[in-house]
Amino acid sequence: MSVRAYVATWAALVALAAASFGLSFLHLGGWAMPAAVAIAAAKALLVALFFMHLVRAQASVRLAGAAAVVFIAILIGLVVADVVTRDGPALVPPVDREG
Amino acid sequence: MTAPATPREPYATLAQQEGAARLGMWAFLASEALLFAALFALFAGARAEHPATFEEGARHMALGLGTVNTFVLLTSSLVVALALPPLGRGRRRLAIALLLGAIAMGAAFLVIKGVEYARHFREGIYPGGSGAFFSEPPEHGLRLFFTLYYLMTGLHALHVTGGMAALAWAAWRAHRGAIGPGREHPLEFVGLYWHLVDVVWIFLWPLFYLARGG
Repeated sequence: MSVRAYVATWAALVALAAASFGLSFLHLGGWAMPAAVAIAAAKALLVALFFMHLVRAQASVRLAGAAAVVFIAILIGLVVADVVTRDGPALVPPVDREG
Repeated sequence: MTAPATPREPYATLAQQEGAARLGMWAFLASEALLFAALFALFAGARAEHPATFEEGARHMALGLGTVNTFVLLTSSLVVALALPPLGRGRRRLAIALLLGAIAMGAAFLVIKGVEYARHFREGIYPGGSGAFFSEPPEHGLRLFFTLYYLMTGLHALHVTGGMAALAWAAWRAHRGAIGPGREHPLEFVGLYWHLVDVVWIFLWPLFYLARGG
């Protein structure tokens, strides 16, 4: 990859970070977290595709990268689905015992 | 000068051998990503239970320092990426200088992190939810937030340190001529590790610093 491509990737990363920073000052309510994570995911994709060369890598390497993303999504997705559908708290604070 | 003579068994060509090494490196990176993913899953679950308190915790973070650190790591990834082409063209000194620059940025990241931790300590925020900050009344969500903060950024800082050591190793090997034109993949793999460390911070920053509730 050319120097220009690397620098352009970096410029896009910085721009996305600035956008995320700016958005954090707005009152987005329930949309604040999804927006922040979406921008972070876009930045991660840029790093993976261009800095880590996935855009031109062999198929097996791309498969490894995609597999990691899929399994992480399953892990986080099911943990959150578990927690939000419970009646009581999932993470219980330690009980204060007497004495 | 640096290219080895023949591929090892069972590889038919050097390209095949290098491709296998690259896949192995990515398998390792995927395992590292899952290590952090387990902690991100814990964060997601805890935040789902304490959304307001987690936003309050984020408001106690040093937003400026965390943002500077984001810029430092993004730029260090650029510098590491830029070191590979000159190495392949035999411009060894330029490649080594870039690697040393990236190491310096890693050190700057750790220094800023240390300043942040010191600030938290002064406010009575210690790992495990202990410290004067949490005294009255002990808000469980706040303790969870800062415990996760220390755990995840601490683990990340360890990875930054390891990455700096790996970059230093690559710079040394390039200096010795063991990495160079025809045999660049060791530097490429060290770079992959550094970029993963950058990606982890790309997610840590918005979750701990930006999600302040607007």
